[in-house]
Amino acid sequence: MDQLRGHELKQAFSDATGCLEEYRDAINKLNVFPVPDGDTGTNMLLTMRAAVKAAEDTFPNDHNLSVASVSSALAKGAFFGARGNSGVILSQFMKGFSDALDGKEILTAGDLERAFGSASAGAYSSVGNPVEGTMLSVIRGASEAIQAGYHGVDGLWSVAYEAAQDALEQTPEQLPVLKEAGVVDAGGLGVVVLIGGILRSISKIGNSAANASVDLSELARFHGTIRDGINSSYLSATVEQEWGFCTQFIISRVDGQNLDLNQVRSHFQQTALSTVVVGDEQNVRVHIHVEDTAPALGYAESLGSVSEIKIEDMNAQNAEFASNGLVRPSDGVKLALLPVAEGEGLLRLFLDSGCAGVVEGGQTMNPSVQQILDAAHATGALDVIVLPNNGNVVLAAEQAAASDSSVHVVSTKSVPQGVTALLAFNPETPWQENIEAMTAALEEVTSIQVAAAVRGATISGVAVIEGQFIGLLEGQLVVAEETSEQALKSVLNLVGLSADAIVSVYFGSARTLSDAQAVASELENKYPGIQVDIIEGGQPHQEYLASVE
Amino acid sequence: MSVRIVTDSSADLPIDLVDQHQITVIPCYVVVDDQTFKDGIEIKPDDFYVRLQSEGRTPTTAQPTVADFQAVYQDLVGQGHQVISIHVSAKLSGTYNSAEQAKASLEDSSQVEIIDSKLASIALGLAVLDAAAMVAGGTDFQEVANKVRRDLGRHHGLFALDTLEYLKKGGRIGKAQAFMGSILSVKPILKLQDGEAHPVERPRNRERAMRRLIELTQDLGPVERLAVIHSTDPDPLALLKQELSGLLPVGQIIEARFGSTLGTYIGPDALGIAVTQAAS
Repeated sequence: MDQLRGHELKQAFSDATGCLEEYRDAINKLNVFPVPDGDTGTNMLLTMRAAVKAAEDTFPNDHNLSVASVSSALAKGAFFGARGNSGVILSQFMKGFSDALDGKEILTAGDLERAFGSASAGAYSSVGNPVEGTMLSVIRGASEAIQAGYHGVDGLWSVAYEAAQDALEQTPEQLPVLKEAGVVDAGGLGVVVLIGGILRSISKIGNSAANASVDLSELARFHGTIRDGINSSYLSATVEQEWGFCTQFIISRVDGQNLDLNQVRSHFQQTALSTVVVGDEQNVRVHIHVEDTAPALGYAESLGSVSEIKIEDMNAQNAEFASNGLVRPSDGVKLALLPVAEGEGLLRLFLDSGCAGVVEGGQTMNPSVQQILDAAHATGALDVIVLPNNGNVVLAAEQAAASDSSVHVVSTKSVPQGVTALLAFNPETPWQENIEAMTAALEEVTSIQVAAAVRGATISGVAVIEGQFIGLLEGQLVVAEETSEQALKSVLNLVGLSADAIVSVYFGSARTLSDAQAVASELENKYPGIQVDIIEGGQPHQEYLASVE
Repeated sequence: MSVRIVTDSSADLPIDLVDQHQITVIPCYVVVDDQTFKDGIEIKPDDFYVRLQSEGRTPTTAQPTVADFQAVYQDLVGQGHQVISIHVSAKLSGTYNSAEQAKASLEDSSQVEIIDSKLASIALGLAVLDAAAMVAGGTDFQEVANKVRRDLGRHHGLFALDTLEYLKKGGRIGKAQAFMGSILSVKPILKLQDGEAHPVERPRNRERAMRRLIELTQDLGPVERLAVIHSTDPDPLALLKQELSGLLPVGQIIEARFGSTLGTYIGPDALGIAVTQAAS
C-alpha cells in the first residue's frame, strides 16, 4: 500500500477509537496505585471520541478529503475534548501528527515517518518533566521504529504496532512503581490499542499487504493478570453533586437551520447555572443546572431536535448556595480565581472564599480543556487564574492557558495547595504578582490524602491489603492502616508537628464531622499549641484531605 | 496669632498626646441600642466593646454635626487662632463634609483650612501629630496646610482583623469584600489606600497575622513615627513594639486604642499599625 487517503485515515481513527472503547476497562484496571487514580482508559477514550466526532462533524461527506484536513479536524477535536493527563498527551500527539501533514492530500510512507516523529515530539513537549515508562515511551518506541524505506504505509503501521508493544513491555523496567505492582503502563496500553486499531482498519483496505486479521486479543497478555480489584461502579459514577437539576441534552439542527452556538451559550449563561455549551452549527451539547427544567427544554426545542436528554435531581441541600451558582458572572472584574474541585463542601468553600467559580472535577473526573475555558470565560473577568488542585488536571489547565492568553495557571496538585494559593490571592494586584505570591505560598504547605485501597499491592515498600486505608504524603504512599483516621494520624506523625503548626482537615463524604473532631482532639493533646481547622470537604474519593502549614 | 489643630475622634489619638499638642478632638457619634453617645466622652471603649459583642442592634456611627464644627471653629477663630482641621477619609465618612459646610458658614473662612486625610484611625492620628509638630516648630499656617496635604502619602495604616463581619454590617466593606468568607478561619489584613480599606492578605491565624503585620511594616521603613493599636486585647502590643524596635525605639512608639467609631467597623480582637515614613 503506497498511500492512505483522507477518508481512509478518518475511518482508521474512528475504528481505533472503537477498539479503545473495548479496552477502556482493561486500561482503567491497570492503575498502579491502590488509589483508583486517573481513569486513564476513560480519559483516552473520551479524548479520541471528541477527535473523531470533530472529524465527522467537519466532514460528514467522505468525498475528496485530504489527509491534512482530516488530521487537522481530529487534532482540534482532541484538543478541546482532552481529559486528564493521558488525554492531553494524546491530543498533543494528534496535533504533532497533524502539523506534519499540513498541505498533504494523501499520506505516504515518508509522510507517516515525519508525522510520527512530529507526534512524538509534540507528546513529549506537552509534559513538563517527561517520565519514561509511561505512554510517552510507547509513543517514542513506535516513532523510532518507523523508517520509511521498503515498507508501505500499512507495513509501517505494522512496524509501529510491534514496536509499541515492545516499548510497553519495557515500561515496568523503566518505572519502578509499575514493576512493584506487576503491571505495564495504562496509558501505554492505550497507545498500543490505538495503533493496533488503526492497523486493523487499514489492513482491510483492498491493496493492503498487511495481515488482514490483526488480532488485538493478543494484548490480553498485558492486562490479563490484573486482578479485578477496581471498584468499577465509581468509574462510571458521575460526580455531579450539586443542587437543583443537572440537565444535559443535545440540540441538533433541523431543516438545514444552522444553530448559533454563541446564542445558545449566552441564553443558558443568563438562565442557568454551571453552564457548559459546546458544539457547532449542527449539534450543540448543553450541560446546565436549573431549578426548573421545562423552560430550558422548551427553549432547546424551539431551535431544533432535542436528544440524549439526561436529568438528574441533585437534591438541593443548600438552597442559598444554589442561588449563588457555581460560576458568578462578574463582568468588569479584572482578575478572577477559578479552582477545580469536587465535593459539595469544597465547592462551597471556594465560592465562599471569593472564587469567581468552580470547575467541577478532580481525582477521577478530569475536566476537559474546553470545560476549563468555558468556565474561565463565564467569569467575565479580564484575567483568570486556574487552580487545578489535582495532578491529573494540571496539564489540561496548562493547555487551557496555552490556548488563551487571559487564562493563567498556578499548578496546585492538591486541594490543600489550592486553599493555600487561594489565601495568598489578592484580586487587586496584577495576575503576574499573584502567580508569584501564590506559587511561593505553596512551599509552605504539606499535602496529605487518605483513601481506601481498592486493590492490594506493595508500593514504595509499603504492603497494602485491599480494604485498608492508605495515607499519601505529597502524593507518595507512606502508610497503610485499618482505619482512615489511623492513616491520617500516622501521616501527620511522620510529618511531625511543631507548636505553631496549622493543620487543616477536609473530611470527605464517607466521614463525619465527629470522626474528624476525634482526630483533632487527639492531635491537640499530643502536640500542644497546634491549631487544627476542620472543614467539611465532601470530596467523594478521599476520606481525608489534609495540610500542614 | 497661633495655629491650632483640629481633628475628629476617629483619629484614635491617646489623650496625653491630645493634651500635649493642644489638639481639639471633635467627637463622632455612636448609636448603640437607639441611644446616641459622643465617642470617647459619653461612651468609653471598655463599655462600647461589651455592648458591640452583646445581643441587640448593631451599633452605627454618625459624623459630628455642622453645628459641632461651627462651635469649635467660631471659638478658636474668636480667640484669634488659625485652624487646620484634618479629618477621616471622605470616602469612609461624612465628617469632612460637615467640616466644609461649617467653614463655609463662617464670616471669615480664610482662617480655617480643612483637609481630607484619606486616612482613618491612628494613621490619621499620625498625620495630625505631624501637623502639630510643624506648628510647634513655627511653620506658618498656610505652609502647614500645604505640607500636610502634600505628605499624606507618607502615612500608612495596616490592620489585622479577627473578622470582616463588622465592616460588612457597617456598610464599609468596600474593596475588602474579596476577603469575605466564613468557612475558612482567617485573620484578614487590610490597608488604607486611596481613602478606603483594601485587602492585603489572609493569614490563617492571629500569630501569623501578627508576623505579617510586622513584616509589612518593616517593608515601609525607615519611619519617622510609628503607632500600634488594638481594640479589645492590648497584650500583643508589647510584642509588636518589641519586634518593631528596629524601626523606632520602643519608648517612641505610640500605643493607641480603637475608639467606638472605629470599633464599630473593626470589631473585637483587632490589631493595627500606622507609620509615617521618613521624608525622602
